[in-house]
Amino acid sequence: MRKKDNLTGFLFILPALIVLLTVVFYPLLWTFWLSFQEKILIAPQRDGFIGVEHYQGIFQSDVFWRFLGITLIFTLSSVAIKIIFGLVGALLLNKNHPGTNVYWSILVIPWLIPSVVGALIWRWMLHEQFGIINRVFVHLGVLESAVPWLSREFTALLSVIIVDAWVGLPFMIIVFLAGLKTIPSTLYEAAKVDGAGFFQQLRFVTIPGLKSVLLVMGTLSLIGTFNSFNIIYAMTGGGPVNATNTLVIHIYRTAFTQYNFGLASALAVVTFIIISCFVIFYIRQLDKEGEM
Amino acid sequence: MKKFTTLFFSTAILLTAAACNNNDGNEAGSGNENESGNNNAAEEDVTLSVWVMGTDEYWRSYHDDLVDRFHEDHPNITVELDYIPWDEGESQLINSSANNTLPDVSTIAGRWTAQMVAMDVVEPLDDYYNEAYPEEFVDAAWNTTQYEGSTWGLPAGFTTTGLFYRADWFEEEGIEEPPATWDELLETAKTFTDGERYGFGIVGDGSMETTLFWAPFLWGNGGDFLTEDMTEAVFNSQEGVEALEFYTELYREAAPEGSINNSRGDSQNLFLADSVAMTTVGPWFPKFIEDDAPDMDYGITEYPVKEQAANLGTADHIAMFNTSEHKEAAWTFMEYFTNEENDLTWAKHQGFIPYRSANLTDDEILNDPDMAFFLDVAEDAVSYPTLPEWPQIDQAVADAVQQALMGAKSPEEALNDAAEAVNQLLEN
Repeated sequence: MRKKDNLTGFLFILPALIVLLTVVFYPLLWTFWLSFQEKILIAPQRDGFIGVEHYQGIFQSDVFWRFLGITLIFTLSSVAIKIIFGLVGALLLNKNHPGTNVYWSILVIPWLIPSVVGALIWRWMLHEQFGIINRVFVHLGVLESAVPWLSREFTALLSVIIVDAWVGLPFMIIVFLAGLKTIPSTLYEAAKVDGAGFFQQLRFVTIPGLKSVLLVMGTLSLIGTFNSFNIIYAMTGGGPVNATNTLVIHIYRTAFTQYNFGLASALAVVTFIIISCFVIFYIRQLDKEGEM
Repeated sequence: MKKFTTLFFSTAILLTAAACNNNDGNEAGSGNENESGNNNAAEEDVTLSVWVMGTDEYWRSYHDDLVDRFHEDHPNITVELDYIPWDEGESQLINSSANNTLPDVSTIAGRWTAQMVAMDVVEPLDDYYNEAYPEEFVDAAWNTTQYEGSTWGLPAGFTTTGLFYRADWFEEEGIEEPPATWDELLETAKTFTDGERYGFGIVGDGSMETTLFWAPFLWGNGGDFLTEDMTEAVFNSQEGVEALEFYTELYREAAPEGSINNSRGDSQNLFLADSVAMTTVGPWFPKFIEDDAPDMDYGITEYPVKEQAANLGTADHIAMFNTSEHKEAAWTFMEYFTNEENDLTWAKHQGFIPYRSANLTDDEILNDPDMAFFLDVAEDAVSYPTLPEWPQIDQAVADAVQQALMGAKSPEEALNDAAEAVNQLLEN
């Protein structure tokens, strides 16, 4: 009886398992296998097993560390912006001001349009000659002359961070808003009775109440942003002179512009391991959630 | 990632053989004058998959029409066309080679051909034509198809480049002659640079188009990319460094700062949008001006030079892949694609230079002033070296140019670093 139950259960999950195995595990193992191979599409005669040579090359080259640095700056800045502004936005929308719905409708726009489209629109807005941002800033006297935002190293990185945060913000706000609704209003009333001001309420009631949501969203957002590809690719393609070349872009360019699939796979494996650390942290958070 | 792409490309190119009604009794012979010596095209129905690089409306209308006309002459051969964007063409071909999903025939940029040959996927064409056949083509175009003693494609497009300038602006500023030397170019370009508009539309996006733009300056200063025997980089010579120093100066003094991200299309758009006074483009550009800025008063002149006259000559090829199962039909199509009539139609349609000798003397071509100009400068046209590593060398040079423009490295340092990388590549 027991055995039969197990079998039935197993049969039920079998289709999903097959799909998982074919679309997730097979490519994963294949990438891992490729990372020990020399495989350059334009030089098929050099194909063959080369062991850990790619990995040695990666850790010895300063290129990898530089791109890892850019990735970390990009990821941490973008996530920080999303969390801080997400919280501010959620707090503002939590009160029933007149016009909340209008604000809300405007806020979800970045989430509704495809991110590549958003990135391309921003690219035009930031354009030196045709961009509206330069027009407005010059007109207001903020800037003396038009700035080619995506042609300077610092402003290019700043631009992709802001646009990435802009795309990810609405979802943050929604989740924080849902989190705020779960904090019992009695806590606020008690705090008010004790004479707590706005910031004290924020510090002793709101943040602790949102702690688990903050942690989970923070890690999820870290993983997602670390892997963010389309926004940078559509806006700068990793340029100018690699200023916005995050690891994901670097992997893509290694594979599809240098056709070096072996090295690209090794880079992908390294990136996978870095992200796994985040994921393990995330799963632990979830486990704690269960205990609460 | 790789798996996904593989799947994507293979499904994208999976062909469904269209059954077409063939009323027999049709003479399946080549519809043009020359005898290929291989005229026994099969009677059975064949479907050819053909890729064409280039996606704009002009390309589509011309090629769709060509395929229709071909089908009338050869009812047993159905041609399925796919248009591939130029900037994705190389990677699509390379990925398809790796996955065995290549088409039968594809147009291809001449600068990619040797690389594809080295990957052992291109069909050599030497046995398909008789001895007199190559004579029918313009030497400069035919020579680009030769590599290691074989013919790997047929010329399918040939262009040179020139300097486009705003004749009306020149008049306003009282400049009588377009610039002929580097110094004059810089001087003239500075005249137009005032924050609202700029002197020169430069390309610096670090792609192959950056190299296209910079190469004439290198050649015009007596420099070259590689040694004669193609074993070593020489673009970091004194001539090369000077050329990049000049290019950088032109960028800082007379081009929008954002040019660092500009592709060729961007610089053309700046010209069309009244933002720059000059830029360098090929013979297809007058068509764009006609459509987008019909009242523009422009002129075309030769590249300003320092030591010697030079401009970039590029050839597109049409090539057959050795994985094709219908090689005879594929050859029939290639022969038709590049016959005299189609070469002339293409030249008139797109503004390209004829690659067939007979068409060089066509009245209509000779009487079109723009066309006559591009024909005229063909004498000074220089082509890229033909070797499998070229696309990578091209990329290394483009990166060096962009680094110099950004100020990340001095022109000399940037070129030296690139040369070192290229030499390493050539040694392997």
